[in-house]
Amino acid sequence: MKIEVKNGSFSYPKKDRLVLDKINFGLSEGDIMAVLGPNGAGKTTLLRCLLGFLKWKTGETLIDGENRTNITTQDFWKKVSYVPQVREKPPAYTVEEMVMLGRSGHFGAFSRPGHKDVEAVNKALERTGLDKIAKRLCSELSGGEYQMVLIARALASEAKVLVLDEPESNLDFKNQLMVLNMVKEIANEEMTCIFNTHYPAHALRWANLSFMLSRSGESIFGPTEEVITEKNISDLFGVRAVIGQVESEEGKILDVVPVAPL
Amino acid sequence: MENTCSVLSSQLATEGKDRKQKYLIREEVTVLKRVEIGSANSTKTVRLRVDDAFSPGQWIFLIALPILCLLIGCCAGRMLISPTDIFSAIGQGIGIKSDVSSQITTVVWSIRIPRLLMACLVGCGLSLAGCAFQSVFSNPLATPDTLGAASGAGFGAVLALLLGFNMVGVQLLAFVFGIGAVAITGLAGIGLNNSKTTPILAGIMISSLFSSLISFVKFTADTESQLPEITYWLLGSLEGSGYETLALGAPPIIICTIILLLLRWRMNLLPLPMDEAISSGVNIRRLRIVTEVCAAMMTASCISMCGQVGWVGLIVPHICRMRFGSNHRVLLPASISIGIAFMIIVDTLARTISPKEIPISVLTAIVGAPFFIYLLRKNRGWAI
Repeated sequence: MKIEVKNGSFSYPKKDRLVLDKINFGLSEGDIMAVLGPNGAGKTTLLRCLLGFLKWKTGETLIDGENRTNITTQDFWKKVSYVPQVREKPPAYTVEEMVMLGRSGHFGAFSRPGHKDVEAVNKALERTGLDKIAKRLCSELSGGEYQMVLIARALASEAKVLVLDEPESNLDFKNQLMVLNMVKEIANEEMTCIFNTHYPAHALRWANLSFMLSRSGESIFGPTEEVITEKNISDLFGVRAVIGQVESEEGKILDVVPVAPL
Repeated sequence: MENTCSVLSSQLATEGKDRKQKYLIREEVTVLKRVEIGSANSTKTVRLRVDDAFSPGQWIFLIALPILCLLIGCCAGRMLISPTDIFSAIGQGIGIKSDVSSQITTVVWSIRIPRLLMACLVGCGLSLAGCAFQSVFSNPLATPDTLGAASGAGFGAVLALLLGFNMVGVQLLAFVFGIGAVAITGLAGIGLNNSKTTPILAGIMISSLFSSLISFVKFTADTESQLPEITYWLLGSLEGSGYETLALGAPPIIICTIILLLLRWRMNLLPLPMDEAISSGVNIRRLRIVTEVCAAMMTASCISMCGQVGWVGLIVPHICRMRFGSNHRVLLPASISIGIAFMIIVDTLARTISPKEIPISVLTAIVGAPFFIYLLRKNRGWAI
């Protein structure tokens, strides 16, 4: 599924300063886009506008060429699913109950989940390797496990676009790898993924497209290797950085090392 | 020299021994811990049921408990009636002839049964309302009165008593003011932002406004005749239960109970953070409003029937959450069952343990608080 933003700009009510100015990007099936930028540049605002939690001041979101405003909320959330950043303590549901909530848009208010819903939940649980802890309470899981539950919930909704808000922040190395590898796998199945991140290295390794925001409202969009360069990082992040190559069993991996603030 | 050496070596030896002992102790501790974790896990898997529905044992418990309480409630009282007589009297009432005395039939049909029915309605209504508000606001401290329904209803009733209305008038005015208070809270707190705390704050304000108004009415009431009546009403009692009261109060409670039960799958979305709930694709605003209105109607109706009964709506949902989990699919039916049982037990105690009837809100806390603390300790703390 194609998702595009054309000329999007946004400012908070009663404030003149544009947080986002002339945002343009487009993705199609199998693409992974990383959204990068320093604190306060509007990464989360961008995702919230894209998802419709905030309204673009000008510009539009297009899904398969159709304007977001012409699609009903219910239909929109069948095509797009959102994996939030874990901020609040999760409610005391079991993992499978939580994943079932991803199916809410698929059955009526007064009815119960059907056979198809149960199947979708089971598939999502197996897919993410959560079937072993399906009966455990979300409130008792580790951060990495709960992040995976949220991804499973998004998968259960069978949407074609996955939007993740800093999926790997607050996670340890192993969980970062597991979560981002999962995103890659999902994209390989003809899904479109967008994620926010603080780590340019993660963009280089997992995203084929990148979108870089600066605090002054400029933005750069393109293939990751063209966007994440030493020059762009120093311009937009205000940090002198070195991009180098590391040899590993998994092949050559690009890494970004921040050297000194400018 | 040699001396110091030997002293040193012996010191070293004892230290080594100490260390070894310490090590051993530590090993024991880790083993102990492992066992603890193991047992904790096993109890947890028991607590989380397999298909997030009830096990047969739980079904039997949740159905049998209220029935048993009903039977005990029917037998106990100033006049003790045996269970066989109860059944005969009930039979008599619906046309099956038996040799039970007409006095017993009268007591059962015109005193015990309406009162028990009222206890069922109030227990069910307040527990569900508490459950609903806790979920809507993701707040474990939410009660049926969170949006001001109980204080508003209290004020309506007190006002009616001051104006000398009959009991039907009191009940109607209480209900109207209960709903009115929630409407004012809604107007004051809705549409400001997506926060779940804003409506609670607005509710606290409206609640305290109506509490002050109640105090004002008490202040102006006639101390000889009206004030005792008002005070007694505020403490809550099921004493005045009759079929008239029930006919007026039951419909809102029954209708809202059915609506909430039908929504039980959907209600699981309520405790999620706003954005997550919206991203499910469900119209979450509508769901929240329907839930809040149902809960407020049930609260206003309960309070208008029996006065300000506190506590039930706070502790019953928590007891059920601890025992059955937070999934509304099980939480709501469990709350109904436990709420009914709790209310009948409290009311039966209220009218049996002393010659003069004890106000029910006094007893709900005396019975409820220790039991709740016990559960809290057993669960090692608690969060929704």
